[in-house]
Amino acid sequence: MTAPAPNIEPEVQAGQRDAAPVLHFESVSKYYRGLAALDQVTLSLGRGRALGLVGESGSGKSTCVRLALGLERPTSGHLTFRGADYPRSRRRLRTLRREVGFVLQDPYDSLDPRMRLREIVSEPLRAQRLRGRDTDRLVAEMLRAVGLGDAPLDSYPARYSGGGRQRIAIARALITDPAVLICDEPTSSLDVSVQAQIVNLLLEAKRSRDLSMLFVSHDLDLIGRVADTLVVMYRGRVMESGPAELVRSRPRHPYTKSLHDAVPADHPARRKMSTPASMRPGTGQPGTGHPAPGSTGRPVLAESAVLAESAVLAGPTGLAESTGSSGPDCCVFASRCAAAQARCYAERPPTVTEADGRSHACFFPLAG
Amino acid sequence: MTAAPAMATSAPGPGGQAAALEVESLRVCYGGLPAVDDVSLRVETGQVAALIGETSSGKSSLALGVARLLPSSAVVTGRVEIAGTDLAELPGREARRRRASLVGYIAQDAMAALNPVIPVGRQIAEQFRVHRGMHRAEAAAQAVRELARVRIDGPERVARAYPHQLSGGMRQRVMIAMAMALSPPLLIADEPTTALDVSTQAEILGLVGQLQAETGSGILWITHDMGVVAELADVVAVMYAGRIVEQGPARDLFDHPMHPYTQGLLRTRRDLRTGRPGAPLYQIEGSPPALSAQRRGCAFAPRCARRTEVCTEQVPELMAQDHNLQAGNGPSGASPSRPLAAAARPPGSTSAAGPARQPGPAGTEVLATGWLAGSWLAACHHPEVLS
Repeated sequence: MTAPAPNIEPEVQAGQRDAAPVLHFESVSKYYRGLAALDQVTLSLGRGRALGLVGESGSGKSTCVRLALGLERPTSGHLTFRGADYPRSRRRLRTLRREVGFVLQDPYDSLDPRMRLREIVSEPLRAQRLRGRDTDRLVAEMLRAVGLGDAPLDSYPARYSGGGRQRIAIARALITDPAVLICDEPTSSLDVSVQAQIVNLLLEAKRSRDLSMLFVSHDLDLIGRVADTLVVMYRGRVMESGPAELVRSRPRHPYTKSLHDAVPADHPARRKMSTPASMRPGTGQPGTGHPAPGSTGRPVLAESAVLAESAVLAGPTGLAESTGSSGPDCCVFASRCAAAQARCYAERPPTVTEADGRSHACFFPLAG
Repeated sequence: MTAAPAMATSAPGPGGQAAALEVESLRVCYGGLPAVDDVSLRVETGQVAALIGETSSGKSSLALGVARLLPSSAVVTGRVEIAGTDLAELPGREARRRRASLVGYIAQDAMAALNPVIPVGRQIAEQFRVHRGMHRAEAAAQAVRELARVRIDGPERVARAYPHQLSGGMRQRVMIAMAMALSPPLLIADEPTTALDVSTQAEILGLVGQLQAETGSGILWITHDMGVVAELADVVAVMYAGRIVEQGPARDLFDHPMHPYTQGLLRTRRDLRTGRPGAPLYQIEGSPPALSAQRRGCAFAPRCARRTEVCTEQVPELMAQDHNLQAGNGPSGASPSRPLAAAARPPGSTSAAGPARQPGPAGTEVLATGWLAGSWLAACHHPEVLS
């Protein structure tokens, strides 16, 4: 599990290439300093489809994005693009990136304030050495496509609101005419009244350009509107996946259910208010002694098993040095699960695929 | 209609209990630009008032203005009373001392609000030493009790932890413990769950609900999330471009919003939940105006489907609305709303005046409470109930 994946798959025939999923993770793990950010994740994005990754902080969503963008390599497992392994050489990786556009969460961070719109939107072309005489025309065309037809090419991003900036980021993502668009929480830092505009723009781009889309979000309602397949992640593992409608309306995994229950009510008359039982933190050991740095065992200071990813990666919080923080041989959700039994702490639940296309990793799935 | 909302209660008569918060004609300007423009509101003791707004709506400036935490570059006018005390009337040192026991402030970013190099228990204990004159050991023990009050397991251990050793939800609990330590009559929560995961948010919302039932303090909860409002709020005020555009009891507002902006926000949320996968989402056109934007008429007009000429010329006043207005009665000669007498009240007049009822035309009755705290107010030239 620690050895890097051997590059066993050579070139794939052109015919196969169309049938193969655009993006495929096969039992992919990624470790940072011995901690599993991704633990044997398998997922697949079919051509023209939209795959939704949903989970809380520390679930591994963003690690999936970094791997899919080719910014990092998996510790183990296979990552393929149109049936071929991700290339190792920088040159070929660059060619691949032409096919992958991305829109990130924070449009204030992801646009360089010192660059003009012309430079920002055409940057992928420059990186791809594709910049030609028609660049200005192409940039203007892209800006028109995202509803910024009258934006001057020599203006700076400071002039635009959050929604406007995200439109600029989408124009930049689409300028190389990619096959895949990766959206990492594209609307979560925008004003509520602007979010729908951006989602609609992405849906429209997907339809008109025949894009495949990897859509990452923590918002179950939003992702249910965008994705046709949902993958629910928790602490680096896939808890449940399947057709979005089914996973949303009739979850099999208790974690998916608890995510659902945690969404606030839509009317004061239907308050959920008190903490859903399945979300209550495991009974913490009564407080005696501060955890020694580097001590093993559960991170006792976290009130729940959800740890900020940054804390997992950087925090000297007494986290285990190895995967032992959760244990490779248990369900990572067990400590927060109302239905957990002894077996959940002793064995890792295998992924079970059902007839309706759903799969889940739980010993005691809900009736669904 | 549901029972009479708490927000509609009249101004305190002689001997009556003061509201947790009374804001009158508050204006906050930065460099001559009004971030908060003539806002009046009232939060009763034991009430959760939600303030909804987006970027540059002025909601945070309002909160900071109430707590008198704004930088000196901000020009603040208007009157703010917390539990009957106007901090502006007190000398600086006295105001600072009194503020700590009058307002608790829960910030969005607990990591930035807590001191990174001091254990959280000591940060809480400091308040007891400074404001209650407790000794070190006594204050430390009290801090541990405060942490237990916000349902932290192993409070002794957590009291010795530094902020970075805690998860986001845990840090927010510490913030809440700190804000409530001196049992202030008013809590201001400025988007305290925005940066948290949904499950942690659910825990915090549940916790605040329980704590409020225990302490009975008034809460001004600032958010952009209608879901959080639905979970917590008794009364709601919707802010747009520095002004309150609609306010009323939470249930009524969710059932029959009158302002097109409130309607848009609620419809956005409902559509997101119930719409067909892959279908376009319901969207409000345009984006909120920047603080520096030129203002003339209703700030929402450029985004509004009901816009007419009057909207681009006249700022609509916040007016009491007739609940029985039927859908479709929209813009017509017989206006369903009348300005509150209080709206025209000159600043500086006292609030001791009891409620006065004035008969309105066509069966409407206008509540003149002495405050802009009538049951249901909207600032729109064409208010309309959507069924």
